[in-house]
Amino acid sequence: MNKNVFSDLAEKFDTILKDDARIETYREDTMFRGDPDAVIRARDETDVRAAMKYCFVSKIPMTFCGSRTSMTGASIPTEGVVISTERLEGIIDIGEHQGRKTITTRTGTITAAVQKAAEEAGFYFPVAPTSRDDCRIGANVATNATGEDSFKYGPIRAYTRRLKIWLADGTEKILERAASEKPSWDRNRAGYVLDWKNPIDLFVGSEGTLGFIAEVTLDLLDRVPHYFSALAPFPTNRKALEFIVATAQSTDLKPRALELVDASALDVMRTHTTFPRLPEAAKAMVYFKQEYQDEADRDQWLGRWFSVLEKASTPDLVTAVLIADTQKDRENFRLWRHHIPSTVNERARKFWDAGGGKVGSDWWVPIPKLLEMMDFFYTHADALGLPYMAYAHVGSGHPHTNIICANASELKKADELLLTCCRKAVALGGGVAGEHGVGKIHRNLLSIQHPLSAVAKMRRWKEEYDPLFLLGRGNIFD
Amino acid sequence: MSRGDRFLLDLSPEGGDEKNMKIGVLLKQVPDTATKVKIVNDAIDESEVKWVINPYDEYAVEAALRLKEKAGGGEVVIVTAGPARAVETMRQVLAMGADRGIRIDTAGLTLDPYTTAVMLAAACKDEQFNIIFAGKQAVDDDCAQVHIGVAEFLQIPHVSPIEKFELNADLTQAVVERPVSGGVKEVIEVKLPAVFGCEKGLNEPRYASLPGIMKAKSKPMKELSGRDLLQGKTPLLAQSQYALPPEGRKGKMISGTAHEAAKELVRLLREEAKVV
Ligand SMILES: Cc1cc2nc3c(=O)[nH]c(=O)nc-3n(C[C@H](O)[C@H](O)[C@H](O)COP(=O)(O)OP(=O)(O)OC[C@H]3O[C@@H](n4cnc5c(N)ncnc54)[C@H](O)[C@@H]3O)c2cc1C
Repeated sequence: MNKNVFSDLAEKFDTILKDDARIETYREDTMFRGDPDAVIRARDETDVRAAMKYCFVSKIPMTFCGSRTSMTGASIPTEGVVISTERLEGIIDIGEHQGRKTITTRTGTITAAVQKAAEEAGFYFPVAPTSRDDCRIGANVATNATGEDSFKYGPIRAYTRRLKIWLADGTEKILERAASEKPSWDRNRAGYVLDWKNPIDLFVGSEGTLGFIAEVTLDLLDRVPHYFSALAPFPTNRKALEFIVATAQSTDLKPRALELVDASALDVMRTHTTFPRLPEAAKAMVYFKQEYQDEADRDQWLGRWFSVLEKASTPDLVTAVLIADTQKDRENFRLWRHHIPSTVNERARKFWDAGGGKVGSDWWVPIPKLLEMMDFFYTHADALGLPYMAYAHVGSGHPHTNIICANASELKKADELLLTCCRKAVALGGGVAGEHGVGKIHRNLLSIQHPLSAVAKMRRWKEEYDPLFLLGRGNIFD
Repeated sequence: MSRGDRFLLDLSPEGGDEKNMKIGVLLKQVPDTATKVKIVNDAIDESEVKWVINPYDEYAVEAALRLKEKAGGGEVVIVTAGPARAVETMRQVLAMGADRGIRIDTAGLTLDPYTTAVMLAAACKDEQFNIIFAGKQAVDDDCAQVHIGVAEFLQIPHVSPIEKFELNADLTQAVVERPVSGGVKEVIEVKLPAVFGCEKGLNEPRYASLPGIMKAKSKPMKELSGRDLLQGKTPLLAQSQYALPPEGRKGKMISGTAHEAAKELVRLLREEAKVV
């Protein structure tokens, strides 16, 4: 691409060019290293739109990025410009929309700040990825993010009421749901949702390939529920998984979050400086949260959980079930949980130079198929002989499995296993990319999930909104 | 005093009875430090305050529970002076494993560190504790005086803040470490009974367990009248007025080696201040 266009951009916008060391920050997300020609750090929305118009005319590929916590290379281009939303922070309004309580925010607002603003106004916004202190709300919409609490509350699609979009040439589109519309709570499969009725659903989870999400209006829930968090140790992965499956299918227990921390993930959790001593027999954990109305209700829930755990675990481990019922303690539990991916990502990054790294999964299966799927994964992972673990949203049939590879040949084997697991997940009625999207590094999963005709349909939608294929080039499509 | 110097406070000749260690913990319920303090009609507006265990008291609770475990028996009793809402905090400590609680009701009383210490000491005296742990200070008023007063009124030794605590084999004497300026530690041997103010780092406080929380409901909780314990004693300190400190520009401290700090500074200038 002509170098002069980028120097021209630098005169118009706050731009970091390729020969500027500061561009390094924008070359990597959690999993992928790319090579942007320039980064525009938009000072405001007018900047973004003007930059898009300029790039459109000059046919420069545009990749939008929030905080680059994506796990798929989706926010890192291999060519063209990055348009960063890092300065587009702030809440626009908390009020009513079509008779619902909503929050309208600028696209670069950090997710935790959206939650905090909602809470301070007496409301509750439930979708918070584990990366909530870093990631940005527009990007959450662009990936249809979920979080720990999505077991009860679903993904961000379920709350996305209205989006202000700019198409590749800068044209504005307002996409909005009718008051009566009920968005789907399904986890992602791969690429765009196929059965969308309202184009807003095409943009949720579009991984920056259809347009720039400039403003987001989200439904809020009415109250900030009380809840306690719990970490229940189990003697084996299998016992923990059986408990999760039984709980997820139970009509009695209604946790807000239901996650697995398997034996190897627990080893990582144990390395957190404030993680408490646990009995040696604890070889896996179930992390759950329970909402309650008042103290009597809380005690009743504690009693119920105690009695099911007594049956599912061993007596000494039931004695060691930890409960966090204060803000500070709950936050510590959350940090221990977050310690797993952040530590593993750091460790794996060290192998990048040798062609290794982490092979992470995002597949999911319907709950009745979970045990079969996990057996399948563990059997194959054992045979592979590389360090691995499984944790996260297992209550929704959606673990993240991580395999750590020291070099390129290990990585190749782990990638093959990922594909095998994805085929199995699809065969069991699930999806290949439940929350992270496919981005660049998991594009090949699209054809595992969908028949060619479905992929062709997606391509047509892409052409309709972005005929020059300038947006998020390399994401979803080759 | 030079590094590692030892000296002996030998005030109390009696020893402890291992199986029956009676351990007291002074507990205070304080506003969460994230609370935005509001002043209304010259008083602190408590309506939006989230109440928590004084963080330093958590180390005291943990020290007490570990001591009981080590002694192979005994009792951990929490003593708090506070209004009815303090019960919630006491329950949390009972859920961590303390055995029972004593709340000195302070409704309607105007207190200062002196009168608070008078009441707590009176309650502790009746209990005849072998040892008393407290947080080194409460994070609401940061006075760090009450546990000193309690020791004084009970006429037993006192050391604070302690970062290390060990008991000798016959459980009659403690060896504690207390930081003094310049990175120097005092190692002090103390005969029990004594009062200790606990510092961060002394231990890692435990979390309440599920059975612990369920049991906490039925653990005994006694209420004493603060007015009765004061026996007419009145505060030595009077508060004339409340005011918030003037708002200054927020600074940010960067820790680490010069190399690490410089790197972090550049990161903050770039990612937070967004000026480079
Ligand atoms: C430790 C860790 C834990 C995580 N936990 C979770 C989790 O629990 N749940 C979950 O869902 N994800 C999780 N993630 C993945 C990631 O945080 C989410 O995908 C998040 O939504 C990305 O936010 P970001 O601001 O970093 O976006 P980026 O990585 O910068 O961008 C992500 C995608 O959004 C697009 N995009 C960004 N802004 C816009 C915009 N304004 N308009 C259009 N497209 C845009 C980008 O082009 C890219 O395709 C985790 C990641 C890490 C590192």
